[in-house]
Amino acid sequence: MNESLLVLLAVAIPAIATLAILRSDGWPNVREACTLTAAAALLTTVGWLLAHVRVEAPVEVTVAAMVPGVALRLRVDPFGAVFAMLASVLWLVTSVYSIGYMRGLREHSQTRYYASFAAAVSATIGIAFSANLLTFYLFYELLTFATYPLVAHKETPPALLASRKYLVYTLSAGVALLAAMGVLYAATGTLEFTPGGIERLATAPAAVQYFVFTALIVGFGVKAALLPLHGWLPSAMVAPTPVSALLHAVAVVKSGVFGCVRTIAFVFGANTLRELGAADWLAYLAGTTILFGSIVALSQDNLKRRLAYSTISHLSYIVLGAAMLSASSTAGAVLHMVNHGLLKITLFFCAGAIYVTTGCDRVSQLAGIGRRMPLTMSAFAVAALGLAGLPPLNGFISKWYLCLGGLETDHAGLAAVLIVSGLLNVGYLMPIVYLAFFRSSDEFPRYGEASMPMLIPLLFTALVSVLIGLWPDAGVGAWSLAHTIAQSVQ
Amino acid sequence: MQELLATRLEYWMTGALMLVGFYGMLGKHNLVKQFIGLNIMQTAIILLFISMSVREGGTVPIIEAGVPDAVYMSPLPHVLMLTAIVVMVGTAGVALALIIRIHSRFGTLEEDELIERSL
Amino acid sequence: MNFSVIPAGLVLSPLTGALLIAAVALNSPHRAQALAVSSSLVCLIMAGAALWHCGGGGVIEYAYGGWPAPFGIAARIDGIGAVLATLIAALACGIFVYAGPTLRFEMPALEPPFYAMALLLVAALLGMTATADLFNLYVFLEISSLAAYALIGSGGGAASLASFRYLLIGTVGASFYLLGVAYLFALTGSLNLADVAIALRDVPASGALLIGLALLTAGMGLKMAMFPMHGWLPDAYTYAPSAATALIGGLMTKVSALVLMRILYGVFEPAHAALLPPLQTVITALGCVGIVAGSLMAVAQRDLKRLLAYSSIAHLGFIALGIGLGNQAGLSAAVYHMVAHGVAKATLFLIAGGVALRLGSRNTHALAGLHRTMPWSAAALVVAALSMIGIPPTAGFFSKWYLMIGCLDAGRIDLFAVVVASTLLSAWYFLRLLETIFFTEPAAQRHHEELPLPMLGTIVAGAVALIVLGILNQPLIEGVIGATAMLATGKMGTP
Repeated sequence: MNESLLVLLAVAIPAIATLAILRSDGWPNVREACTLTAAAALLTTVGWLLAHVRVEAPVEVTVAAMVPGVALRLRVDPFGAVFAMLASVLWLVTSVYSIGYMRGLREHSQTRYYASFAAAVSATIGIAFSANLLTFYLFYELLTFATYPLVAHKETPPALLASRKYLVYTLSAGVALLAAMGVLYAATGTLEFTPGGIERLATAPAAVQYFVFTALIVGFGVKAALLPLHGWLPSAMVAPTPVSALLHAVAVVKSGVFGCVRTIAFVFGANTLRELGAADWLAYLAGTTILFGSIVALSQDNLKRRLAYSTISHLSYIVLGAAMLSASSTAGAVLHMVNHGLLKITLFFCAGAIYVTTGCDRVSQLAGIGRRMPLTMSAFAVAALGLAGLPPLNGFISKWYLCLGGLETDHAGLAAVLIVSGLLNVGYLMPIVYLAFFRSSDEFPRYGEASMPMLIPLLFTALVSVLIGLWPDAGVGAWSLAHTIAQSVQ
Repeated sequence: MQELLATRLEYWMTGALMLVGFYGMLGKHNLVKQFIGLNIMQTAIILLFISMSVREGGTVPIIEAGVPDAVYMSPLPHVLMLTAIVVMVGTAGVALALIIRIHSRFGTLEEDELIERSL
Repeated sequence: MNFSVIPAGLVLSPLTGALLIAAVALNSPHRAQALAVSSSLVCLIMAGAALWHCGGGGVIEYAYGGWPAPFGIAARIDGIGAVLATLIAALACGIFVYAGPTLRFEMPALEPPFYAMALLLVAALLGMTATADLFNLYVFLEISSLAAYALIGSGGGAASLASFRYLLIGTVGASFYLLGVAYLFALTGSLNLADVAIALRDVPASGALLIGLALLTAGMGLKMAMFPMHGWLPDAYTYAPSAATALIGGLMTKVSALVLMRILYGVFEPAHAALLPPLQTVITALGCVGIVAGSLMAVAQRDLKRLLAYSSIAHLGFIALGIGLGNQAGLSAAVYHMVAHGVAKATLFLIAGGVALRLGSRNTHALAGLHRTMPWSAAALVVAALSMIGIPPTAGFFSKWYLMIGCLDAGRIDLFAVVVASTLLSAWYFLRLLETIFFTEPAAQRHHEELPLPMLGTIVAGAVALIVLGILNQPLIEGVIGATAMLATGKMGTP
């Protein structure tokens, strides 16, 4: 099997699906069959690639020369493969869920929705497999434009406003990236991701290093919702729930985080950053974001907004892990990328299921809903506990390594932030579970779960979270992969 | 200064002519007058070119038997300006055609009235 | 094939086409269109051959009437000229294929004259890319302008007025150029570009030389609508017939920019490099102001063609900036942006023409729901808009990229910041356009009414070309870099 062909295929499958979906406008069944087929094909492809790079060297494909020294090049390394795997598994799950959700609500413009969704996944896979910053930037901008129609989906004034806000934030981020790339290229002549950092950058003037680092972090920090740049994410919750679930909890926001990790570990490298001292402020910023997100989440009544602030806080776990520059914390960051993806998508699936079956989207309306939707709310409870970092759920493992990294690198304060944030997690998620199960209300007298296409995905992701918590190295072997990645960039 | 005026008088003349042309284009509100200003300015440039070809005591650049050491005027600027005049005539033709069109459409050639009527 | 006739053939082929139309096809639009398309195809083939031949830094020369330069008039095409000639021929070809239905709609009964006039314009523009003579250049410049005045004046509404204003300003620009040529001729006694470059080495730097240079720059600045000399452009582009706007907006200003580049770096730099920096400072500053001001004015527009016209001013600012930087990356960016912006802007103007044909309005609000009624045109519009904003992998990104590198090479962080931030300004008005298309309810429900195939084919080909040019930018840029290197070191001179 020619692996380099598979790499191209991985990016091409969702892109082709986009076109196929657009062509099948008017035949909903054909359209959704396209989505599901593509998702299954993508999962197979990425799975094959992941299995391949576990044992072999990274697979590399050069598509075209772009500028001297930098080509449009895809490279599948373990880190990218883990991210792509996460995105493709969850795409399949979300596609099934979308069918239930969109049909349940009789949404308009479903063709545009599915097409944009596939395009966004294609861009995400491209981001995961980018071998250099320029390729990354290309897919990063495409992701922005692919997600834009999804945020604006409802076409109501608030939706249009949110989508404009989203564009302003992400395009400004693109400008920061562009500036960083220009300076980096002028200084080193390369933009290639190198485990442990670009060599020539280490000898560049400190001012150049500082500028490149800051601009890259600002560029990626917008999608990663770092503190002053997070404003778009809560507004973007106006999008349909599957979009919030896959894109605004996994694909889009994790692309930003993925970019931050690439910057720290593959552009600069731990040694350069230690000398520069720039990673410290990033770590403290991430710590602040964690607390900020958690505290604001406490006060949100809208369920999706509460989850959005929780996402803001958890994305910074990953940035923090990478910024602490130790092997344990980096492994923890990679693991948390996967774990948070699974847990948060479960929560969003639950929120969507509740919305479709009952029309409720506020926390205060949910009293007693556990009686009507016990399976959904059980999954919700599992994911909530997982996010709080309770063993034996998967969230515990990643948080463990993050704390370990904090102690190893004498950042005890940041480790404490993680513990406090765990408590706050309990504070903003468990009341919902309590309301659902232990407060009775006449609102929800009868048993009535959401439809099967919605119920199965959310149970599946909750189950996977539990299984990963019990056997961290089962399945794709995320645990050992995370450690391999962390070792390779030290 | 006086020396420059004396030796390069033609430059000053053409310069003055150009300014007259510019005044016509910028200061006049009638399109035909603007067009005449344009023509004056172009003529100034043509005169400048021609003046460059002049040699003291020069004659027409045709080799004649029996006049061995004649000083000739440079023929090149003349040839070039012949072409430039053709271009100028072409421009004039297009400009006048446009002026006729403008007049038939808006009924006036005064700039301020045109601005009112074209809005 | 004998390459040496190409520089002359590039002019003669469309000129013959124009004359043939005037002679035999004035009453037959179809015959006129066939003649226009076929003669521009011949040009395209010749330009392609020239590009293939000059890509690595070669030069093709042709002496009219067998008189060698500097005595005779020489036609000469080099790498940059070949790039521009290919762009001109390709765009002309596409626009002639496209033009039929919109001409019948916008200027019925004037179809054959349109083709004849447009061919004249194309002949003159090709002549400007393929001449080695300063005065010959002036003549071609004026022929192209006269054809453009006529094309613009043939539109409806205030077109004749816009055209007359353009005529006044354009003629002043050409006169400045001619005056500058007079200065150079007085100082060197020659008109051949290469010959002047050599002769200038013996001319001491003086006020007269600087005035000549300033006049040439101002003349070309007017012709290429460099800010603040852009006043003629918005009205002219808005009122001209759509097909003519695409031709003029896509090409004319770029060819003037090419001439400016040749004069600055092919003629003056080898001999008098010290004269350039003050002028370069002015050009880069004007370029930057043009980028910002043009974009801001575009934001305020509700007329699609006017919006595109102001955006042209901004993008000519990019080209001016590249020329002003004068280093390898800057000049390459300028040339590449001529191509990228030429194709993108022509495509956008063609789409605007198609929209006017189908919806009968140029107002941006009329575009609401375009993706339902004209999906392919809407898709092409998205691609062209992305190229204008500068999103990879479209061509627009790469010219911006090289411009950025050029700014950094020159150590100009301020210019770098403007170029990078300009993305947001372009995004502002183009994305608002896209929002209107995709997320605004159209005033009246319309049926699927995509454009006829020839129009659509041209538009889609333009969009595809933008992506192909982007992905395959490196071979092209390498060729262009080679050519600009020759320009900058003054080697282009040696006859």
